[in-house]
Order: sequence, then C-alpha cells, then structure tokens
Amino acid sequence: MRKNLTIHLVTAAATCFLALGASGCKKAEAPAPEAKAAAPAEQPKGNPEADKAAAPAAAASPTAAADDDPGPAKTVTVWHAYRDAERAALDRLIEHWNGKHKNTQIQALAVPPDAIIDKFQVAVPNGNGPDIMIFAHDKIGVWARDGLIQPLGEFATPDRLKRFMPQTVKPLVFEKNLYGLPLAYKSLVLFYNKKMVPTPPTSLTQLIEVAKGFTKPDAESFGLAYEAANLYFHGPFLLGAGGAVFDETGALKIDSPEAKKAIDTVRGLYKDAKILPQGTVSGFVITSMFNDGKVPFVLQGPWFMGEIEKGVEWGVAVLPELEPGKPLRPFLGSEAALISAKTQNKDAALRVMDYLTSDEAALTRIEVGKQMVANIKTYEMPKWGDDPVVKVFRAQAETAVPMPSSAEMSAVWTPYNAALQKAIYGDSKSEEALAEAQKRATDDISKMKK
Amino acid sequence: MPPKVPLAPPPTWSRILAAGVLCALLGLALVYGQGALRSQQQTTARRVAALAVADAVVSALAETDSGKSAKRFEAIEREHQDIEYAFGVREGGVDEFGISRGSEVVHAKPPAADAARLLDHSKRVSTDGHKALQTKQPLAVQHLFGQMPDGRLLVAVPVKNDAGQDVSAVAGVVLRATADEATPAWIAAVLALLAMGLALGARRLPLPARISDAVSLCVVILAGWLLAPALPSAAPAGVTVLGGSRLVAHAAVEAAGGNAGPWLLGLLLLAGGILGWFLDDSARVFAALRKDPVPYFYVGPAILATGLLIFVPFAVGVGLSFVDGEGHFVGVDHYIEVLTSVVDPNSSTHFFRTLGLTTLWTAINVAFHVGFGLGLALVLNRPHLKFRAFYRLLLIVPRSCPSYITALTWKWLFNTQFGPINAMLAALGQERIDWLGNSPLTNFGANLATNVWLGFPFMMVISLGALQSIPSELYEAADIDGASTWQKFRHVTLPLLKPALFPAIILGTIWTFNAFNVIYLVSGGGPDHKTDILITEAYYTFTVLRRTGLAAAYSVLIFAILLLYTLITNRKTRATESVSS
Repeated sequence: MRKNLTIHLVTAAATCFLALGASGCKKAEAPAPEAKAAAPAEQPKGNPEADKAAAPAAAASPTAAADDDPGPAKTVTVWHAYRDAERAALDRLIEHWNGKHKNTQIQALAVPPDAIIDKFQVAVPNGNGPDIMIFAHDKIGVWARDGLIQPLGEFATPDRLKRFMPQTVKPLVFEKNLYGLPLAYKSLVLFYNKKMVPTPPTSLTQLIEVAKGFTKPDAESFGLAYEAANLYFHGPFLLGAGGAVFDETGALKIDSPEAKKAIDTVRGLYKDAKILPQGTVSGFVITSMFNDGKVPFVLQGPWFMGEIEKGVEWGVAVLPELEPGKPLRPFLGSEAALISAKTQNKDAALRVMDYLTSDEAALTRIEVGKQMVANIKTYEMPKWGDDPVVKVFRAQAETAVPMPSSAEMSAVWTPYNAALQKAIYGDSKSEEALAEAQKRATDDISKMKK
Repeated sequence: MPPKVPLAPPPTWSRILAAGVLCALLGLALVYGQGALRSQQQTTARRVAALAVADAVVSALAETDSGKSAKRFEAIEREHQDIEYAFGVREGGVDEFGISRGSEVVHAKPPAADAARLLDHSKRVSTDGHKALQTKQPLAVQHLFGQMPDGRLLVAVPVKNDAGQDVSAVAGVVLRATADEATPAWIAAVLALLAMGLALGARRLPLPARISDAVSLCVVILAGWLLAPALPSAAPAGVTVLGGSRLVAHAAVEAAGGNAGPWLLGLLLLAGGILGWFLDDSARVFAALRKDPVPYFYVGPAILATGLLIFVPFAVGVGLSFVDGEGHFVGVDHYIEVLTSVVDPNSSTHFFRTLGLTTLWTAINVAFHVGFGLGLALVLNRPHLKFRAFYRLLLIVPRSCPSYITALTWKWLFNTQFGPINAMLAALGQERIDWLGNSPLTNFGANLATNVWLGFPFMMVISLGALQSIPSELYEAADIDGASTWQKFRHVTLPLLKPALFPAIILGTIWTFNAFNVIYLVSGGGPDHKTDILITEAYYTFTVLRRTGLAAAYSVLIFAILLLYTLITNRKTRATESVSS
C-alpha cells in the first residue's frame, strides 16, 4: 500500500509538472520574459537624464550607432501584424540591428491582424505586452486615453519629425501629444486592369461610362467593385463630397447634406448605372473578380498589390474626380511605431523606433516590404520618386484625409455601415438612414466608457 | 458520478480541519478587506491634506511675477512637513503638427524635466476628469496621477486655459512616502481557531448541522469585521495581485474605503453562509481523503486546471460586473442598466428583445438538431444498409471542420451575386435574394442554416450510439406483441434513447445559446443588431462600447439563465443521473 501510494504520488507530481511545463512553454513563446528579466537592473522608468543622453546619440546616427549601449543587456520587443513581404522587410531590419547591438536585441512577434488589438489591450494593463507596437494611427485615441501608450515627449524633436511627410505625422498627434513615429501610409487608390482599360479615367463620369461597357451581369462581370457598405471604402465619396464623420469641433455629424450626397452618388452607381455587383461583396470576392478579369476597376489599398495574381496586367491611378475640381478623397491611415505605456526599456525602445523609421530603414521597407514609407527622402531618389506605382500613392496621400482616431469613432462603424447597406442596397432614403445612424451612434457614444 | 458511499460520521479532526481551512480563507479575506479599508483611509487622509494645499499651489502658479511665484512655492514647501516639493509648469504652445512644444517650468525643486513630464501627463486628463475635480469627487485627479512607484504620493491640479478646453498648466505637490505597516498573518490564524471552536460548539445546539455550521461561520465573520479595525493595520501592499484583475482589486479597495463597506460585509456573510452549508460535505471529503487518497491524487491536477482556467476567470468576470471601466465599484448598476433597458430604436442593445430572439434561435436550432440527428441516426442504424460506415463518416464531417471555416463557407454560399444558393435560384428563374442584406428574416435564416449544419452531427452520433445499445430482444418481443413500427419507436426506442438524448439536448442548448462564431461570422448580428444573440450583444458592449463591466454583467446573466435552465431540466428529466440509479 505504502509503495503504491508513493508511485501514485510520483505520477501525480509528474502530471502537475507536465502541466506546469506546458504552460511554461506557452509563456516562453511570448517575447516578454527576457525583457522583464532585464527590467530590474534597468534604470528606473522615466529617468530624465537617461532620456536626454539617449536622444541625441540616436539622433546623430540612427543606424550606425557605433557605440553599443553600455549597461545590462536588454531586449526590445516589437509586436506587429505584418505578413509576407512587410514582415520579411521588418525581419531583415531587425536582423541587421541585432548583429550590431549585442546589448540591445530586438525581438519581434507577428500577431494575426484580427487578434493584435485584443492581445495588446489585454496585455498592457497587466504590465505585459511589447515595448513597441506597430499599428495604424486610428487606435491612438483609445489607447492614449486608456493609458496603453505613452507620448514621445522631448524625443519628438522637430529635426526628427522633418524626415516624414507631414500628413503622416499629424494623425499621430492626440491631445497635443505625439504618440509615435510613422512607418508607412495607406490609402485607397484606383486599381485597374490594363488589358481591359488602357488609360485610367480621371473623372467619375468617365469611369461610369467605361464601366458600363464591362457590366454584363449574366457573365458575372461588372464595371466597378468595392465594399460599398463599408465606411472605409465609402470614404472617397464621403470625403470627396466635402463630408466627414465629425465636424470641426469634433462633434459627431453623420447626417450632413454632404454625406447624403455621397450616398446618393453611390446609390446612382448601383441603381441607375448598375455597374456594381448585386448585394454586398467581401474583399475576397473582389480580389478573385479582379484576378479573373471580371471587373476592370476596384478601389483598394497598397495591400492589394500582393493579392493580384501574376499575369494580370494592372495599373494604379489616383482616384478620379467626383466633379471638376473635387477629387474623391480616401481615408489616410498612418502606420506607426508606438511606445507601450508599460515599457521597462523606454530609452532602448526609442532608439529602436528611431532606427526603424530612419531613412535607411525606409529603403529596406519600400524595397523588400513594398511599403509606402513615410520618409520624404525616399521619394527624392529617382528609383522611387519616378516609380509609377509609388508616384500614384504619393499623389493620393496629398488629397487623403486622416482617419479619425478618437475613441468615439469605434461607435460609428456599425451604425454607419448599416446606413450604407440600407440606403445603397435597400429602399431606405439616404437622409433617413443617416439620421438613424446619427441617433444610434450618439446613443452608443453616450453609453461608451469615457 | 459515482454512487454515494454512505460514510460513517466524520471523525472530529476532519471537521476541525475543514472548518479551519474555510475560516482561514475567510479570515484572510476579512483581514485583507479591513487592511484595504485602513490603507485607503490613510491615503485618503493624505490626499485630502494635500488637496488643501492645492489651491495655494495653483495660485502660486497664477502669480505673474516669477520671483514672487517662486517664493510662494518655497513657502508652501517650508510650511508642510509632508511635502517633498511643489511644482508648477506652464505649456509653451504648439508646433505645425499640433504637438505642444516646450514647457515653462515655473517652479520645480527636482529635475525640471520631471516636472515637464507632469505637464505632459496632465494633458491627458480629459475634460471630464477636470470637471470631476471641482464637483463630484475631489480625488479624481489623484486617481489619474496616483501613487509613485516608491510610495510617494503625487497630487497634481491641471489648470485649463481660458477657453476651458485644454490643459495649459499643472501645479501640485509630491508627498513623501510613509511606511506601511505589515500584514499580521496571525489575525487570520486566530480567526480560524475561533471559528473551529465555534463550529464545533455550535454542533451541540439543537439545530440541523448545516444551519448551525452556516450560522457559526457567519458569527465568525461578523466578529472579525468588528474586531479587525481594532487590531494592528494590515496594509495590502499587494492589492493588485489578489484580484487577478486590477479593476477588481481597485474596486475592492474602493468598496472598502467608500460607502460600500456593507457590501463587502454582505458578500463575506453570503460566502460564509454558503461555505458553512457545505462544511459538513467538506468534512466528508477530508475524511474520505484520509481513507482512500488515491482517487484524489488522480483528479487533483484536473481540479487544479479547472480551477485556474474556469473558476478563476469566472470569479474575475463576476467581480468585473460590479466595477466600471475606471475601476470604481458601482454595485449592481450594470445589472440594473441591462435589466431595465427598454426597446429604444436608437439603442444598439436591448436585453429583453435579444433574450427573446436568443430563446427562439435556440429552440428552433435544437429542434432541427434533434430532428435531423435522430432521423439520420435511425436511417444509419438499419442493419442492412450498405456503406454504413462511409455515410456515417460523411455526416460527421460538418462537425469535424473548424466552425470558423464552416461559418465563413456558409457566408459565401449566401453571397448575393456570386453565392451558389442564389445561382441555383437564378437557374430556377427566381429572383436573387440579398440574404445577408437588409432583411432580418433572411439573415436569421442564414445563421440558422449554418448552425443546423454545424449542430446535427453531434445529435446524430449520440443517438446512434444509444440506438445501438438497445437490445434487439426488445424489438423482437414487441414484434411478437404485434406492435407497429410507430409503436415500437414510441414505446421502445424513445424511452431508451432518453438517458442519452437529454444530457445531449442540455449541452446542445447551452452551445446554441452561446453560438458566438456563427452569428459573428455569418450575419454579424446584422442588419442593425436585429439578429444579435445575447453573447454577441455582450461582445458589442465590450468591443465597441468598451464597457467591460456591462459585458461582464451580460455574461453573468447568461450564465444565470443557462444555470436555471439546466437545473429545471435536470430536475424534470433527471437527465444527468445514470440509468442504473
């Protein structure tokens, strides 16, 4: 009996051990442990002297950084949602840095795009999470208010900001504080099939005319495809008509005459010109339509380039004019490196951020990652300045409008999309659908966590 | 569940042990709660004292003559022993990006950059935060600035510009750290001993054992509650560790410090009553553990894992439902908000409408699951059916695919222009239907089709297993009695399926009630939240409205509804009791 008991005890202990081991392994996957281990030996967070000392050194030569950081070894963790080419570019940059900086190693974690927001929002309040978060600017308002990210403060010297296109920096400012440095910008442009349409249209009227020629519902072929019932893709029409989601004072204004006009324009495309497919289409369907030559025009962003199959002759063009002098204006997304509010390595993280957004790093990101980088210098080089695709995105960024980054914006999506669905595909009047969305979003905002 | 082995009256020592463990836990909770209270009161006192100086600091900042201003700051520092230093910083305007540039340090004894950082920080104080300072809670600002890591306390007053829009300056003081008293662990031990004595003594009263146990535990709690303030203070330095969630911990402290003390006592008494009720059972467990420890070692890891992965998150969830997003204890406000919601066309969430829809959704689904599942099982159970194994395999496929993929595939099947379902309609000369468009009915139908597809294989497998275990002699006997096919099904098959089918139906109901994947991925709750079920509505309140507390209240209510359903069904059908008993 006693011997038996011992055996059972050992078995039970082993089971526990295995269970613990398994959970331990899971933890090791997350990049945090090293960073944490190094933390106690680190200088206390927010030491002003260290801040000052680190800043000029990094500013002088971001990539060369001949002198390795003295002091204990540390790891700067970076979370991002990159895949494929963009990820390869980031990995290459990190490898380059890690080879040169034995004391400050970068560790990257790729998180699937649909999971990264939740993961970040759960991890940071508990003191975990990355040192640097790479994400589009439209979450900055929420994250700053919730204390998940911190302002760059004195690190954001005018000198440092000069290297970026101004419209990529402005969206990163929330309540007069700069929260990150821009890596790249994203906006919709007009993708067209060169075989079907040799020269892209410059006005919406032209586009409709050309598109009508390709609309053959029986052959499942249409003139234009985009996610019409999604505010992001509706943006060009809304902003092009001079509308917005919030007015100048920041108050919610969904049911504006401009917004009505924008919906009526799209309704015209669907119900009168009949160049759009029936019912809503997802991005996946749009991609396969374009690849199969079933649609000459799609509204898509830089990510779409990676989804076009080889053999499809495609081109990009700046979005056409809604009416003379009034171009369609897409939302602009500025993708940035942000600093976690709970980082234990702020100085090192700032240096890494500086490196990733440097002009040299930008070259790798545009070359390998095909990113539309935010650095002005890149476009001064003929190779990129004269690149036909890059040129179009660059030109589009001039008219694009930054996506609102306030917390209230998150309450706008669902009601607004419902209004688009109702007024474009359904029988609701656009002003009624918008008024309903206005009320719904107002109610949601009143219930939101402040 | 193994049959209950009648145990001899438990030996006294296991009762003592059980009472001791339970009371030690309660004692810890008490000591902790009281410690939190004490600590909160001390901090509050310090903050109130610091606030008294705040006006002086702000007016020192407002002084236009810089020399005079500095003198006033120094005077404040000299006057108050507790103050390490006072500071004042003013903003220096914005650059072309709208980033505030430079800050003018009016006064700061420590490194100027430190004070500048405070201004930086202050600008994040929202308009509401500032209003709160003047009206509702005088401590709102400290809440934002809070304790510094080394125990020093920062009290800062953001000053708004003339337009009242933005923070343009900040003034405040930093208080020196005070030493906290350590937690006396012996209080818990004393309470535990006291409880053991009481629990044993109460057994001599002419009362049912369970009641006397519950009463004695509650007496211990009350005594502890009254005694603990008189004992040396217990400072909960690790406040944030205990709750598992900062919000919960914060609220616990606040509850103890604010007017929510009775709440905490009430909760403790409730916990004590429940534990006391089960004291006898736990004594039995201890007794059984001594008698035959082996099974307990085997189930130990599983209990540990279940506790960590299910009960701890569940407890945190329940805790969260009493806490708002800022970590303030709000009592049952969230439940009231959910349960008093009326159908308002402007609102995105309507608890009762959604509950009705969820019930309908569940009933229709489960009816289809059982109907299809049982029907197919009867077909597959025919002994002479060819390729039976192949069909069975084929019919289980819907279940074996990840539900995400299945749901997304169905979403595509319902696509208006390119979906095969509409293609079939078009081939038949029918009009295309915008399934996932503006009609709640077609959206609901799409969700339903997807979930029926996902759900029937489970019922089929369960029924098939049960069918195969029905002895063929019974049918032979029925044949001899001249029973028709229907009579055999009604009086032989169905009664014998019941023990297998009822637990499966309970389980299927719970799954369908919370079929988040399907709703989220197929209709997305659309159009306009009209096909939301409770769990997707809770998700909406969490992700879009960012109301963790409200979402937690939804979850607790969903749990309560399902628990009630299970208890009632269980009692009515004795579903989870084994056949043999």
